[in-house]
Amino acid sequence: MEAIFYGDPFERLVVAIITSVTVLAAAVTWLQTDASARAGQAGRDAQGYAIQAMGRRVTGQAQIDYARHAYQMYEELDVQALLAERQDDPLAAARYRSLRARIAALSPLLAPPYYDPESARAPNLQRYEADTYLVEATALSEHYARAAALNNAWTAKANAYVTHLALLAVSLFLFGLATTVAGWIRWMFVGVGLLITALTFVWILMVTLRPISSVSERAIQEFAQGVGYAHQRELEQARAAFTRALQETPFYANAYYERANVLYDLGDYDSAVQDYLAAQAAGRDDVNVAWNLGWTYYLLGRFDESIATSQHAVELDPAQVGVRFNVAIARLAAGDIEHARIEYAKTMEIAAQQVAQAVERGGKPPASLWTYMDAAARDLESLLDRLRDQPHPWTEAPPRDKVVNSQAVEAAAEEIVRQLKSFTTALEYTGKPPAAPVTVTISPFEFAIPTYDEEGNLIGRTIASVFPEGTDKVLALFDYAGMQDGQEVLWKLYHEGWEDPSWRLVEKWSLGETGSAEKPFSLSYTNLYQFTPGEFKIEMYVDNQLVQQGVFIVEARK
Amino acid sequence: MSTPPEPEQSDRFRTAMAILIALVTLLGAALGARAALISTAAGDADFYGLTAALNAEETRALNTLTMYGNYRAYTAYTRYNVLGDMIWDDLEKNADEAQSAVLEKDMRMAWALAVAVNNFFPARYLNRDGQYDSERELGEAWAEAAMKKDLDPEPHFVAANFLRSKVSRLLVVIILFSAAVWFFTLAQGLRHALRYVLAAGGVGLTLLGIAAALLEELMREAGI
Repeated sequence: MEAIFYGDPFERLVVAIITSVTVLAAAVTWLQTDASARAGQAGRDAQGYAIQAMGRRVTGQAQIDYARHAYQMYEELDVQALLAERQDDPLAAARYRSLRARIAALSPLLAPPYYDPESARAPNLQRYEADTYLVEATALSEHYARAAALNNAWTAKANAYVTHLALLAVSLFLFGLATTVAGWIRWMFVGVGLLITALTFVWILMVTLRPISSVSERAIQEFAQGVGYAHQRELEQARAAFTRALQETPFYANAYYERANVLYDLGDYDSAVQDYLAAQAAGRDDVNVAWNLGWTYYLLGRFDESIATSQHAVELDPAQVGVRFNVAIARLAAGDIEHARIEYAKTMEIAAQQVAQAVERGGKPPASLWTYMDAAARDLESLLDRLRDQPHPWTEAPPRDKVVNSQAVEAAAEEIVRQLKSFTTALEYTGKPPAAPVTVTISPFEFAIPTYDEEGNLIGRTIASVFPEGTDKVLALFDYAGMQDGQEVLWKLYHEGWEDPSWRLVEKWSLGETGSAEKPFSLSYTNLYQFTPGEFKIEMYVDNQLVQQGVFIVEARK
Repeated sequence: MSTPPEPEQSDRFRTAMAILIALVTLLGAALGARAALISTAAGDADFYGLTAALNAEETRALNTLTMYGNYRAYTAYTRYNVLGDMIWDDLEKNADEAQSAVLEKDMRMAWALAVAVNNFFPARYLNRDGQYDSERELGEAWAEAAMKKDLDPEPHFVAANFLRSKVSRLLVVIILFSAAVWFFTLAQGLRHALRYVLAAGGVGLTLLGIAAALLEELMREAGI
């Protein structure tokens, strides 16, 4: 060795190793800087896309807001024209119609392809929204998500390289230390140093060669189109667009999630479950996926999976009462009535706490709370519809044969839905759960339309539960006992399963303790409008507690 | 065990190698400092770009909201003004005095409302045909804002990307220098004639690195 090297051959060897490791460290530094730069660039792009997406939504919504305003004016002019016609003023009617056409020219919403003036259908606002900004804003949001994911991936690589540099520094320290000691120990330092360097080198190779995948541009465009179609309820086209996006990028979690939602809307619950699971597997394990997956399991009658998935959603967002109600209804349908009652009671308590906290802060509870409370009641009513074999078009419930111990479940559901409705109303109007139960008795509603003679005098009522199209006034007839003057009475009206809050009426009772009463529900004062065909449900609350409800139907003209 | 005396030539060679190692190390350190400065400049460019992007979106959103507010007022103006014109046409054809009085009252009310609403949108964007030129309003508002603040993020982002790639290239040069040090170190320790080959390799890498670094700087001067 001395013939080849000057000085101590061991030291010369160590110097050669140190220099080699330094070259490797320089290369890793370059890799780290490169990864860090890419991460920085992706992070900046993500911020840029987020800003653009937000801006596009704001400007798009301004455009939509104007279009809605123009449509509102267009409708007003139509009403004015109709009223002018009824008052035998054809010239005025013609003026309003002509003016309507001028207003229509001011917004693309009131022209083809969004609106056909010859048709009685309303403008296709969803299509206009999709074309105006939704598709573009969705694409920008997806670009943001892609850039943010790239930022994360490159940051992870850059951080790994920093660790590599630290390990190489340790091995360099060991090599240096080896030159200060004698005997076998110096060989041990060199050996350990070389081992660390070799392992680090392998790790560097693995990190460097690991590819970073991202959603392709074409997949993003297809996805955005899919969101636009879904917004317009063009479900088959939306499904096709999401499928194309997934063919482009098979690990596109958002595309799985959105396609699952479309499949759900199409009623293909089994396929929806597969796509929700695929979205989770692709990395989107958030409360929305778990929430929808849990609900879809429930509709399929897979109650155990529904409970487990909904509970996972609760873990992800414990304050979310809507998903807690899903746990409760799945337990109920599974025949676990006691636990279902406990779950409902617990969730109502959480809702009451949220309202109390909001009131304490001097604010209002989130409006979404009422949405979830009403939805929970509607879900129970759907379950009852299914168990009674009287489904409505809007009924969403598991198959009857999947419900365990259906008779007991039906009785419990009926009781819980009444409790829930009273609870929600009391919470909404007083900020507190209902006080002691009311003791009034209200007989089941009978519905009637008033009948008039030829001169327009009221001569009686025609009692029925189904009324013809064109009906503009319906009376709810009932007997009552135990009422007190001054008690607060609330009326709610539901059309096709959904409450129409414009009909809500709060009044003080003034008809005495016992007797018979009729409550009119009327549009006759407008001289123009009638009840829209469909099912109407009336609910009566006394001191915020549900005391009676009834249903009448307005038939569509054949 | 004693070491044989070193010939004078070898001492000179080893000294030369030591000087080259020191020189190349200094060059590497200088390049490292330069890369750090450029990296900071890239971060600054990103910041300016994002600020411009925020300005642009804020301006676009505010201008659009203002424009649609104006357009809404223009729509109301159109409603009343055109209605007044239509009543005027009907009035001219009408012979019934009582009806004419009603029509005249309605016409005056419609025109009065049109005049009242007229103040709620800038009349200068009305075209000769009476249509509202919303594109022109947006264009003018954008031009006005562009005079006051930076609304174009793209040049900043392009600059930031260029500076980042420059840092990356400078680090490649540093790798060349560290490889040169590796060659010089080996050459310095060797007795064998191979040391001259290694020294030549080190010098070659050093010259290549210097040339690459100079080229980078010249590219900056040329604005490439």
